[in-house]
Amino acid sequence: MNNKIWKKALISLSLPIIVFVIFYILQPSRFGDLRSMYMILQQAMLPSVMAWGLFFILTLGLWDFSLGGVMVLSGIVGGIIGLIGNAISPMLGYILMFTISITIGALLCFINGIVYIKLKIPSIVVTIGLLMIYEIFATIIPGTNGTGVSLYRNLSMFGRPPYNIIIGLLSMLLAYFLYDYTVIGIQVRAIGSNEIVAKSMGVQTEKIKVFAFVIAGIFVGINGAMTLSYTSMMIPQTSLASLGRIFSPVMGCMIGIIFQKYINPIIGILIGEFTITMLITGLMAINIDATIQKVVIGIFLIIVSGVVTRKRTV
Amino acid sequence: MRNKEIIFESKDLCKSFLMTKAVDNVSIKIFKGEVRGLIGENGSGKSTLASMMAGILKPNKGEMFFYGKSYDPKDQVDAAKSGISMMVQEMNTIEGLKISENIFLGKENEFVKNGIVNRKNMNDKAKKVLVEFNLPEIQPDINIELISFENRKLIELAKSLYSKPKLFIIDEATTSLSRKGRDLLFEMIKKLKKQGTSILFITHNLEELMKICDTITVLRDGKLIDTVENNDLNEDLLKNMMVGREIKGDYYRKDYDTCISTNPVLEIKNITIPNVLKNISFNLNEGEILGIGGLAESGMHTLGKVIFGAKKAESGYIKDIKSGKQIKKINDAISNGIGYTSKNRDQEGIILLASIKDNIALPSLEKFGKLSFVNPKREKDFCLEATKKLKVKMNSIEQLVLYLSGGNKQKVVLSKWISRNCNVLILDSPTRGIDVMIKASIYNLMQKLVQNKKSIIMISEEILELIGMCDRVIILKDGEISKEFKRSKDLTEEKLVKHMI
Amino acid sequence: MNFVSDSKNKWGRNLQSIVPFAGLIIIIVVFQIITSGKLLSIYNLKTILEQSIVMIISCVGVTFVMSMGSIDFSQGSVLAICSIFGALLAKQDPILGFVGAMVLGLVIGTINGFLVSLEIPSFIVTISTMFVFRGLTSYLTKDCCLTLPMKMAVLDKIDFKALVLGLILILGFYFFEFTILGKQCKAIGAAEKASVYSGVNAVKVKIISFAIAGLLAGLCGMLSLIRTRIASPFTGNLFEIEVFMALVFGGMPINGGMKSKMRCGLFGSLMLAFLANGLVIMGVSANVLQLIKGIVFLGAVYISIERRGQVVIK
Repeated sequence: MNNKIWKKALISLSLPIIVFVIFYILQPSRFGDLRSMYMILQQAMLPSVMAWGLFFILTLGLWDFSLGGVMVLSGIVGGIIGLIGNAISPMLGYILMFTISITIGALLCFINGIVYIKLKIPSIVVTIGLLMIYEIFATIIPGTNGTGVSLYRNLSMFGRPPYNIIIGLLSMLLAYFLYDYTVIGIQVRAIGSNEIVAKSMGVQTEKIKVFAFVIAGIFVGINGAMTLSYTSMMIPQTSLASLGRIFSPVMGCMIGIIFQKYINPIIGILIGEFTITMLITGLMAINIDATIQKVVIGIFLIIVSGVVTRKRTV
Repeated sequence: MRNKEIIFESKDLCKSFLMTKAVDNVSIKIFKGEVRGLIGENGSGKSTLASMMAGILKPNKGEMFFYGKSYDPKDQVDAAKSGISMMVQEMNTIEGLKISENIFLGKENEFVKNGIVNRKNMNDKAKKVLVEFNLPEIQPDINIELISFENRKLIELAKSLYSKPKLFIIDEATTSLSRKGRDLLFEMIKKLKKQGTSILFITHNLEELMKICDTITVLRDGKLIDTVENNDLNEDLLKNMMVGREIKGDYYRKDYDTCISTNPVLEIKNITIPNVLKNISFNLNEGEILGIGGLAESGMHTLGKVIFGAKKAESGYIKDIKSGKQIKKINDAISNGIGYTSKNRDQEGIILLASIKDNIALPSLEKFGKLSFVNPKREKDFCLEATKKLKVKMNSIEQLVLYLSGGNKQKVVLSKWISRNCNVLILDSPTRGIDVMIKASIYNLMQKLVQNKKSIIMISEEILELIGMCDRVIILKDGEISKEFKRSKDLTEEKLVKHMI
Repeated sequence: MNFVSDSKNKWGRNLQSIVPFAGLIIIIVVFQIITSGKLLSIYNLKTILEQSIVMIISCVGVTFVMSMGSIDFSQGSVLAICSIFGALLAKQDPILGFVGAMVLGLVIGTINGFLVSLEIPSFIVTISTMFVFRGLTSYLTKDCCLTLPMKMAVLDKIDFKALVLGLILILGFYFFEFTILGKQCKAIGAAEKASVYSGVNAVKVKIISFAIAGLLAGLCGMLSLIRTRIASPFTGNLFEIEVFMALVFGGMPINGGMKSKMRCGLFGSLMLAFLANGLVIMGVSANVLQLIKGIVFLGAVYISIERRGQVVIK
């Protein structure tokens, strides 16, 4: 029994271990010390939070390409109102920043869900179309001149350790709880596995789907506030540039899904994001150009999915 | 005396699909605590009737009453709330979910406090349910795909009964159960009957039917023929009512002395797949109908796939004698003139979302032009010719196969291969889910084919079919050949079954 | 099984097949009126053609891929890397440039197809490829954008481009609707397993389809190079999303199958081009243009999507 647990733990940590070893060998002087691992953990928290939200939608078998745009929009509005609150007191500022960001995130994703249900068109299409709209909305928020928001270093507590890690872990606990200990979690998995049967058993598929979108929105809102706290500003992006924000969470989710036989996917996602962040940091440590990083990530993704797909078919 | 309280009644219930009238003015009464059997050939309307009762389909005309009140369920869930639930043949449990989650899906609120699902309570209750269904060794906390198909079906049964329905419909759900599973089911039925639950039991198995039902209703061509008390029954009477004519030997072959050539056309040698097939070797001779029988898990369906090149064997080979080439992939088989109809017609045999024409043309695309050009006129003519040959009932050749009846779908599948003039046909469960008329025409077709020196391998779970149609029957048991029989008047079901189990 | 009934939808079905035609006519008519005739001026028509050539050609290739139910997210990056490669070769000889770009595209497409045939989901494969080549493109154009050799500028004529476009359209239409390849692609999209049991070599078809898409992306790379005269890190950015949108706009089923048609790409691209052009003539800003594109995209898909035979939508 114990052996089995060890085996599972080892396999689920295999990716980060391999990546770590590779870069440690290549550049022991600049990589591998505890401090840089700590940095990596902090940086991995941001995409992880979005990934946890996205995960609920992916589990349903749906897509949401709009999350990047939702994050920007929720972050900007949260930031503006947070700044106003900050003038009164930082505590109020934080409270407002987070609650507004979460609310906007949930609201926008609620719209995603409703449009998808009512129009009866594929989620890829719905969310890309809405992303185009959200991006533009971010440029017309009153009081921003179309350039988003800047905190000027205020409200930056959650961009620093240990607060960023704390909020990341709290988000992870929330995701874990929602996934395994709520009716929504069970029914989301049921719908994702076999929607027709789930429906015939009384699962209210439409309601659950919208709920799942809202849950994703909550996490995206948290992510927005966290990112704002860390970077101190949020600028609207157009021409679907905010699509770029979703790739890292998607990859983390993939890794979480791939290893879910061995470890709870919520934790798997964190491991995945950690690995990816470590990969990028490692590449920088050995002086690989930022542009080539993309190349390596691409190859990495192919190898991982290739290996896993082969394993599954055998 | 039996309780005469009517719990379910239908008046002139009708349901049509396009041109076919599936249920034609059926008025049926079901009593409390009754175990009612519902039989009829495929296409008689049994499943359609049951689906309307269970809220899956909506009737076009007519009314239903449940406990005297007008009954018009919005959907399956609504019907279940009213007290009518149904168990179907297909697998209705959800993979990726734990057993306890499957059992209580849709009813989790029972275990929820303050938004949190109490897993311990859920598992404990699930354990109780499992024990009640004679499955004490199964842990409720594991994923459902880890247990056997039969146990999954039993858990499905547990789930359907958990809500304590007043009318429980079983639609051909026994085919995937072993002897042990069926016995368990019958125990359950007896228990439910004592508690006052009514059961509607739909099955093809007349023996089971007569063992457990109080009364039996017979449907034919969508109409209700009669409802008979069990005591007044015998098999021949039932069969007569189902088919409407003397069916003894009516559609199977009548000849017994046909000489089969000993020219082998296919050599199957030492086919082995660990845990599935063990050293299967035999030859298929020219002009013969070779039957392969056994239980569902005997490996015969996999064997069919291996012969067609769709599945790879660990060792052994399939050889086409004429060309001398081995069959390793599907394309090898097809180019050597072998065709295959799968048991899973809708997933492997036919493309539902494609037209009749596209389906028939697909394996023969190279015939319609040079250099991979596909001449649309030649394609259309070719396919029309094929559908005429098999008399496919359709609106137009561009019609989606999706909307055809089971029998006509099978005709399209067969047209696909016959239009290629295949020398060998591997037919896996060719008459499953097909009405009597088309069944007869398929048997007829098979005879014509072998008269023209084609060879057929027929894999079937219907023993009567094998006895009636084949020159030789090979019985598989647990992946091995257990016995071979030659066509003879004295062949009986018992003789074959003895070697299957 | 509760499939959407056939009899109800006869009108709906005919409507769906006219939508791409009708949509195009409506857009042209509406904008012709609004812009007081400027839309259909010779000069403007030339501009529209210029803007949409590359998209239409890419659509031709992606039609093969999408009809199988797959997706190609790498079109933009392949376009970019091929234009770089082509630019380098064109210094020696213009024809070599064209050939080289197309060959490189063919090779990358083949790699995509090969990976997809290993049963790795196409979106993972093509997103990874996109990463790899986007990274390479950025790396190679980091210090300076690659420019087009002067002698090739002579090709920047509408006749040449129209010729190429016409040729590709004719070939594309022929191969997709009248050859074994096209029919097998559609069959795989409709039901892969059943197609394989009918003798379709899914591996071969997948590789060829992705190879075609890659080849045409390479051609697009050269055409884009000729038009813009440079290859930069932003060349082809998010191009694949626009191609996807154009196809879906033009009535291409998201999951492919029998209803896929070559004309979807043509009509979708033209509709988008006329729409964008008309709005620009009206003086609409880039942001408003994006907003309208998003709304129209959702509306068009809503009207034209094939819901028959779908029990569960995406």
